[in-house]
Amino acid sequence: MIRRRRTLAWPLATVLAGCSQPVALYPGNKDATYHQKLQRVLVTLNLRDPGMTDAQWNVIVRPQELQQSLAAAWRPFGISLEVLDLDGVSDRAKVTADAVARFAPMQIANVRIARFNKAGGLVSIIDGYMLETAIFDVATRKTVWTGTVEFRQFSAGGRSRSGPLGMAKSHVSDANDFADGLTSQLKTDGLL
Amino acid sequence: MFDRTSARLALTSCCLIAVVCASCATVATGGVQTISLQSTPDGADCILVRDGERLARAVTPASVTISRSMKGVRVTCTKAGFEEGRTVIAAEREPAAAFNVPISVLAIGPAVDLASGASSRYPSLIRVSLSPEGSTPQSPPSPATVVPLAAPTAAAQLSGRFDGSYSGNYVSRAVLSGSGSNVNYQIKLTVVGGQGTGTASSSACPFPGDVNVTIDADGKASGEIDLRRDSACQPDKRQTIGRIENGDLRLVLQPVGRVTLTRAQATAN
Repeated sequence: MIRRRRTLAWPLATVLAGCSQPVALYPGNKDATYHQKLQRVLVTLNLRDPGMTDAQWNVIVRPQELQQSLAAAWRPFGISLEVLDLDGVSDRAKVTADAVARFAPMQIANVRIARFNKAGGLVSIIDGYMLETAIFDVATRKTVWTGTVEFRQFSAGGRSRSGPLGMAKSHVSDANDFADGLTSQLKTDGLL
Repeated sequence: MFDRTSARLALTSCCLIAVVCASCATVATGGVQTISLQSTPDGADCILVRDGERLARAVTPASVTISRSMKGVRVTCTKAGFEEGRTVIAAEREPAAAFNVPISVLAIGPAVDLASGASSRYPSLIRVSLSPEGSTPQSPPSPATVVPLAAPTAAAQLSGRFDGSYSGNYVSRAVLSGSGSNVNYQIKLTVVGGQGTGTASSSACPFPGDVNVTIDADGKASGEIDLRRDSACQPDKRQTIGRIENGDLRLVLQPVGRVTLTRAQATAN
C-alpha cells in the first residue's frame, strides 16, 4: 500500500520563504512492504505533454540532460542504468517491452511531466512544471514509490529556461537539480 | 423592495434551482431504463448481470427495468435443447446529458448524472439468438450467435471484412485549464475474424492495459479498453462502442472520450 503523506508542507514553506528556491521537492510515497534497493533500473522518459507547443517544449529539461545527470547522481550507488526516451515513439508498449527483455531491469522508473503552469495572454508561456517519478518493481509489476520534483515559477526563480525568441537552450542546471532532488528523496525512503 | 432576508432567500432559491436543473439527464430520463429482451427462439431464460450483480431475470420475450450505468451489462440466455447465448451490452451517452454543457461550470450537473448513471443509456432492444445444441463447431467458441444492438435487420455475424491492424492516440485532458496533466495513450488493435485484441499504453504506466473489441459484419464495434490512467497503473476499464467509417475504427469511450484508430496499410511481401 502506498503511504500518503502531507505534501503541502514543503511548497508552503518555500512560498513563505519568498520563493527563493527554484525547485521544490515533495516527500515521496513508498510502498511500506518494499524493502529492495534500486539496482538495475530502466528509466523511461515521457517529458513532452501532448498539449505543448514547440516553444513551450523548449523550456523543459531534455532527455539527454536528464540521462547524464541521473547517471552521475546514481553512479556512487552502483546502479546500472538505461534511459529510454519515449516521446515520439510510435509503439511505446513494444519499445518498453523490448528494452525490458534486453536490459532485464529489476525496476522501471517512469518520469513524466505531471503538470505545467501556463502564464501570459495571447501567447501563453510555461512558467513552471512538475516531474513525477514512479518506480515499478518489474517482477511484481507494482508501483513501489512515487515522488515529484517541481520547477517553480520561472519568473520568481531567476533562472532562464529559454533563449531569445523562445529558442531552446541548455537545462543542465534543471537536470542536475532534478537528479539531486530525486536521489535525496530515494535515500530518505531507503531505496538507495 | 428587497430586504436582506428576502435577498438571501432569493439567492438560495436560485442556487437550488441551478443545482436541480444542472442534472438534466437525471431529471429528464430518470436513473432507470426499460429494455425489451427478445430471443430466437422465444422462451429463453435470460439473466442480466453488471459488475457481478444480478440486475434482472426474465423469460423472453420480456421487458426488464434496470438502473442506468456507464458499465456494460452481460446477458446470458439458456433454453433446453439450445446452446447458451451471450452478449455484453455497452452504454451509450444519453442525449439529455448534453444539456448539462452550458451550465456545467458548477460541475454539479455532470457529477449528478455520472453518479446516477443517467448520462448513459443502454439500447432499448436486446436480441439474443440461441443455436440448437450440436449445430455450431466446437472450436473456436464464437459469440456470433448474439445480436447486441437494436437494428432488427443487422446481421451481426463476425466477419473478416475488417481484419487488420489499427492504431491511434487518445489524450485524456487535464480537468483544469491553464495547467496540464494530460495523459497520452497509444492504442493498438489487431483484428482477426472480427475479434480485436490489443493494448492501451499510457505515458503514466509502463505496463499497458488490454483492449478487446468485437466488430460485426456491419462494421459495428463494441468492447472494452483498459486505460492505465495513473502512475499507480490502476485499471480504468472503459466500455466502448463505435463503427468502421472509411476504413478506420471510430470508438466512443464511456463515459466520455473519442478515439479514431487508423487501419494500417497492408505491406507487400
